[in-house]
Amino acid sequence: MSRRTLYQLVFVLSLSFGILFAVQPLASFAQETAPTPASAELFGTKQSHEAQIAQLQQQLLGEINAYRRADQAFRVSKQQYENLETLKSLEELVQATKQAMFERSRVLTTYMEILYFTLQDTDGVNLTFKDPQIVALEDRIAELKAHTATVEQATSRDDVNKLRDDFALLKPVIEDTSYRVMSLISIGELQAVHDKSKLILTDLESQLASAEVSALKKAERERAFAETRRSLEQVKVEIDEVNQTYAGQEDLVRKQLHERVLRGLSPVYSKLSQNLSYLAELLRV
Amino acid sequence: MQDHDVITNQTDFSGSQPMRQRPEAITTPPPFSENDQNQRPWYKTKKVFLAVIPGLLLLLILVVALIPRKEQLPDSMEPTPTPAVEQTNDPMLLRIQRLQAELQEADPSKTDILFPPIDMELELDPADD
Repeated sequence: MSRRTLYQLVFVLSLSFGILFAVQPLASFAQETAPTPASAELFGTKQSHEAQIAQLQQQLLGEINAYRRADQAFRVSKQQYENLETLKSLEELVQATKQAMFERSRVLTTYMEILYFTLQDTDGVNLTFKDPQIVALEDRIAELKAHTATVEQATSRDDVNKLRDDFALLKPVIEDTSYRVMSLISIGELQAVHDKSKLILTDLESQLASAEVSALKKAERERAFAETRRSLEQVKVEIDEVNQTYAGQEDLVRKQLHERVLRGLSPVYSKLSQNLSYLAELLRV
Repeated sequence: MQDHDVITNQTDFSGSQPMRQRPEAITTPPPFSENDQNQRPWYKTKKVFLAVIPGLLLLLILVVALIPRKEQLPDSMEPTPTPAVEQTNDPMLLRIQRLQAELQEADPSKTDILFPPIDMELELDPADD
């Protein structure tokens, strides 16, 4: 092989590697920045607090783990104190109780924050229900933060017992707010799907109205639209019933009421799924 | 006498009809020169060598570079639980598919904001009721 040939080979190889290292980052950059049209459309909505919620959920997982460790230490200390009944074991128990209460309060605060942002982002929630719960969540978060600060200052057995009494007042309102908000989010998400389904149906009707088809086809299409409209109206009636379940029965424990709401939403979910299949079918009628 | 002469003329016979011929001398081909290039097959020419080998190398590098990219995707990108949405150009069908995905996320039996598993009755001493 002559020297000239060797130079040419080296040049071509250098060029190849140059292209390779230039193309690969560009390709991966394009992959990161240009989402597929479907996914971009799919997640085009509800972006407002998504990142914040995801970050809080991660934080919550860490806090739950810390709480579990603290709770375990509390139970061990309690057992030791019951067996030994010494001042030292009492001191350890006070510290372990304080730590478990502190971790519990942090878990609940983060959980309330997740509910707060999720409820804000949920379309379709009746505003007469939503607004009071937004305020309630703000109150709960403030109360829990104040409780956490008090826990940090506790030093004695009496302080820890005082914290127990304070938390006993918070517990029912925390549970009440949590289950109310969970119910509202579940209702709101399905209500939003229902509302969007109705919009699609209206748009589809206007889109297909201008298309020229035979009388037979037109009659078939009208029957299909009427059936879909009727089905969507039926879903609306069922959602209203669930809303009534939510609003009434104050005597029920909130957890039980939430379970009742979920039971009411189960058929709504199935019917909405069927309605969306109808809509997809209408495109082909 | 004449026969005797014929028989004795052995020298002439062996000279004109040798029993063993000396092997022909092995001639080594002359070294490659530019003038011989036209006489070589096309695939052995220098031009083809210069064009094909780098081309093959380039192709090999590109293939090697492109294949592993798919395998090196981060874990978080691979089995996303998001519902599959078929690629379509019909905006109305796209809206319906998007809504189907939204409905799946709103399944009331699969809520991801359950109340945290914590002890709401945590206490050092039992409360005085």
